[in-house]
Amino acid sequence: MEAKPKNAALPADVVLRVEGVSKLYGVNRAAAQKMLAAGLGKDEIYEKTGVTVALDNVSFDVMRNHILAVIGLSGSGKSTLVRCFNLLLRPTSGRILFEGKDISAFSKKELIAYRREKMTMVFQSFGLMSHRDVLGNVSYGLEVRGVPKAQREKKAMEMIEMVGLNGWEKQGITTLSGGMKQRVGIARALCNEPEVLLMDEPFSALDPLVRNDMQFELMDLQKKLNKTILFITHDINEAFKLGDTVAIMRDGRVEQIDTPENMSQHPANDYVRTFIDSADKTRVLSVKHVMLKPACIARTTDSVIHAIREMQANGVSSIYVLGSRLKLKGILTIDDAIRAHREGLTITDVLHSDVPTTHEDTLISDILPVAAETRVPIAVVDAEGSLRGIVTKASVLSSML
Amino acid sequence: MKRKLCCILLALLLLALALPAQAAEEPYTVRFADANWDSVKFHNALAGYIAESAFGLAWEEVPGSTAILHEAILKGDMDVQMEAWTDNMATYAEDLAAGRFTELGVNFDDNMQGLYVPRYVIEGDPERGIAPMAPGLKTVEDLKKYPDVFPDAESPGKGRIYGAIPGWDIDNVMHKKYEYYGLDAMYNYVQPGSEAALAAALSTAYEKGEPIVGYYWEPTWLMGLYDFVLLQDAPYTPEGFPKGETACPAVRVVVQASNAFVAAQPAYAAFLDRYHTSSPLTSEALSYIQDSGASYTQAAEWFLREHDELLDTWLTGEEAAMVRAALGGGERAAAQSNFPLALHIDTAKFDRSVKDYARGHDSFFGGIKTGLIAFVRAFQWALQLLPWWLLLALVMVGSYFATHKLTKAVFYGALLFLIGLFGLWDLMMETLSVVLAAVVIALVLGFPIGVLLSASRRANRVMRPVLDTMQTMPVFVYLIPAVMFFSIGKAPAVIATVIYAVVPVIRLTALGILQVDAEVVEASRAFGATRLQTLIKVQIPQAMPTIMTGVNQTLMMAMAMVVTCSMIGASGLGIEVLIGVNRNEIGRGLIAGCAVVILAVLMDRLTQGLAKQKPEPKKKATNTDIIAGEEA
Repeated sequence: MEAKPKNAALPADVVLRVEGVSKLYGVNRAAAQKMLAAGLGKDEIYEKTGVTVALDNVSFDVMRNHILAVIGLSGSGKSTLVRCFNLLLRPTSGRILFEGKDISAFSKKELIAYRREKMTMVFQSFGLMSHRDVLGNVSYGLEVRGVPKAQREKKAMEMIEMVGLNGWEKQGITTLSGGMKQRVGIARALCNEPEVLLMDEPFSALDPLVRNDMQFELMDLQKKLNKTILFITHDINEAFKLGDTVAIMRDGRVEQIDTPENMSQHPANDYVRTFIDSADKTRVLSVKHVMLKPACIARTTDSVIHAIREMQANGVSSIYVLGSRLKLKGILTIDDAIRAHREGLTITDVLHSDVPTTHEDTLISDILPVAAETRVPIAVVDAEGSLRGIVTKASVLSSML
Repeated sequence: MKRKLCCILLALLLLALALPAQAAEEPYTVRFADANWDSVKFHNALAGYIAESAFGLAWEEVPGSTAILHEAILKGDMDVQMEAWTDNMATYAEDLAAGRFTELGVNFDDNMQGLYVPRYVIEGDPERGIAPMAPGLKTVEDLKKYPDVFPDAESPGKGRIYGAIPGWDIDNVMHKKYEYYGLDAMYNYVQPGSEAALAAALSTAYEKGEPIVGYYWEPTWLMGLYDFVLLQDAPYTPEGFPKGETACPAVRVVVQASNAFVAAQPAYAAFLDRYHTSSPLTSEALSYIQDSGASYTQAAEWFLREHDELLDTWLTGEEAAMVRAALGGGERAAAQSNFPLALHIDTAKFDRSVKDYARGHDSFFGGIKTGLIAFVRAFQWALQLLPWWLLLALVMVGSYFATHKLTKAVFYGALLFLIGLFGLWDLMMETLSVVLAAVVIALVLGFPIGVLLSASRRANRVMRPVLDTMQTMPVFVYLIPAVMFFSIGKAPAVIATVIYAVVPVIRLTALGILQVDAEVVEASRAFGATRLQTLIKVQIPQAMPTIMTGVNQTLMMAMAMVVTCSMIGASGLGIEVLIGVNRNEIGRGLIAGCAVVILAVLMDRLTQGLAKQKPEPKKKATNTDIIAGEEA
């Protein structure tokens, strides 16, 4: 048998190199591996040997200070892949080089040092410890490394501040919202100052609005920190939005790895093409996801002066006017209101009833033209015509980011 | 295949139909009380054999305690008690006078009971290399001179006298005797809790060649097998005996039958009325059983052949002839079992090897025993430092912190106060010290084992049947061997309790750790925590609520063992329950039982409350503050 060279020189901008990595689950792995080499399919191998092929001869490079987004459907092996990088799972064959060193050849001590200093991870369901407060979670990585308490807490406080959670450091984890929990997860991962950040579907458990915020914040953080990030996702939009490079996985193989632009223009095969085509269709945001509660409303029975004061108090120049049972009657602008006040007219007299409206379940993409045109917020009404909320131009357009 | 099955089923059906037809004419079945000692089993077999061969009756034994069996006879649920120890049954004379049952013949009345010592204690045994330890020991009063010969491990500086079974009338008498002779100054009077425990203590000491003094009685296999000497006492007088001033009289052991049975089976009742053996005769039969390993029925046949003359005194000529014919019919087939095969295991050999082992490693087990006793005594000492009012206050404060309700604190305090009012305070303290010692040991052993099980699938596979066994094995199976190794008292009680109560803390520790969110554990590993760091900083704290449930369960199970432990001489509330049960004093048993329940409830609520309190102290309040602040 030919002994593989343990280490290999890598170009300076390649942090991680994955070389022919396979991961098989099951008892009869040797036989399965032979079949794999002979070119048998995943399902066939499972039928014959009971072995699951999670990763099949995966190779690629991860460039320094880039975000590599790995995308695939569930079962495509992306979560297995990310766990091979810090050896939470060991590849069955192949090797992963970190800065030229074969990580599976690490001794126990080296592996622990590698995890503590080089590579941290953010988890899909956060992986936070409910018996510790925010500070205790964020400083955990430094704690196991043996950093003195004062020092690690100082560092952790910086991170907490960076993800915008200052004031929450003494809170228990269970009291936080999903978005806040993942901020803690990110702060914890950054606290160790790793060279590589592994993110395993970090935003999948969050609702779409929060997800958008978090994606933006991650980009913002990356601008400041310039980390190498391996970002796992099943959302093609997220991958294209965040990734400097995108890898598409299917059945344990990498179908294509490229920049988003190149991939869109030159998909390697039909699978990749359909995946990219699905990008816009997967944009399932509907109006209710971006809807706001109306801050400022008046009733048809209110006096004009009351409506004016209401607008003044809220710093807006128009106000929705409602009848009984929250029925939307129209919109009153500040100009018309002042005119009515001068001329002694009632609200109903100067009301504009041709307000743009929409429904909660309407897709954002469908109201885009209206949103682009309108000068007042779009009113969201239910089947009875009662006001449910409003959608501003800003909220519609920002959701497209 | 299917056809074959059908044939078999059909055959079985036919068989089932044929069987009842065969047993159409069923003879009356005599129900013998089985108080579960060997001599009564022998007499049952003997009377049963004659019932079958001479009267065409069937017979069976119904087991139970003396008191329960007596009640059953009064109610007619039981037919015959071959050995009614008239002196040991509190209400015997009263019930007899009221005619609630029929007293038939005197089975034997030449038996002895009292304080026995092994002969080698007095005379030595050159063969076993035992020198005389108390050469001048002849009478009960002589014991005063030798307290050092019979040391009590649980109470240094004092000797130990094994008393009678709690609840037996003779127990009171023996205790009075112990006071009458002033032995209380230098000896402890230790109640062994059960006959089995007493027999185990005496026989183990004998096998080891150790000095021991204790109450026992004849006829028993123990007295037949070993050479014990009855310590002499002042001659029996009816007035002096109850005060413990004289020797015990021979107890009249009679055949007792229910009125209904005597009316229904007059001929057989007439035989029972003439039935008379003696203590030596009974001992002879019991020795035969011990030597030959014969069954009671085989022993009965052997006995009737040996003592053919008895048939003529017990039975009419015709009846005797029938019995003789049955005896002449040769060996009876062994009782039919429903299972066709039998594996004959030489349990006697096993017994011997266990005894040999206990003897061979005496110093080892002695060391454990001493350690355990010291551990229990430490708890006892600590508890005794607490005056009653302080303990009461502590419980109230503790339950207030556990429940945050003043009413509950007062209620739990009142419950504890009630135990004091029952007059069971000191016994409760003794129980508590045994329970706490056992729980602490169970936790110290169980927690690491639980952690190990959570980490190793192999350990889990090995331990699982062991834990199942520990939880389901009837306690008595290891209770009596525990006596062999650790003698009677608190040491075997602690060990038995630990075996029984350690399981939940092991299981729930392992379960709690395994149930910790996999991603949290993964996160800890991903951040470079060592296995130990992950365990201590993540897995155990996350599993804490489940582990605390295990601790609570262990405590409860330890409480459940209180009464059982008293059967091997661990004094405390359990003894009161035992006395109540043995004497059929329902009220006394109930009060002591209630005290056990109160103690259990208090410990349950306190530990549960403290367990719930542990995670997230204070945090809740600040959190709601912030949320409220946000909304405002």
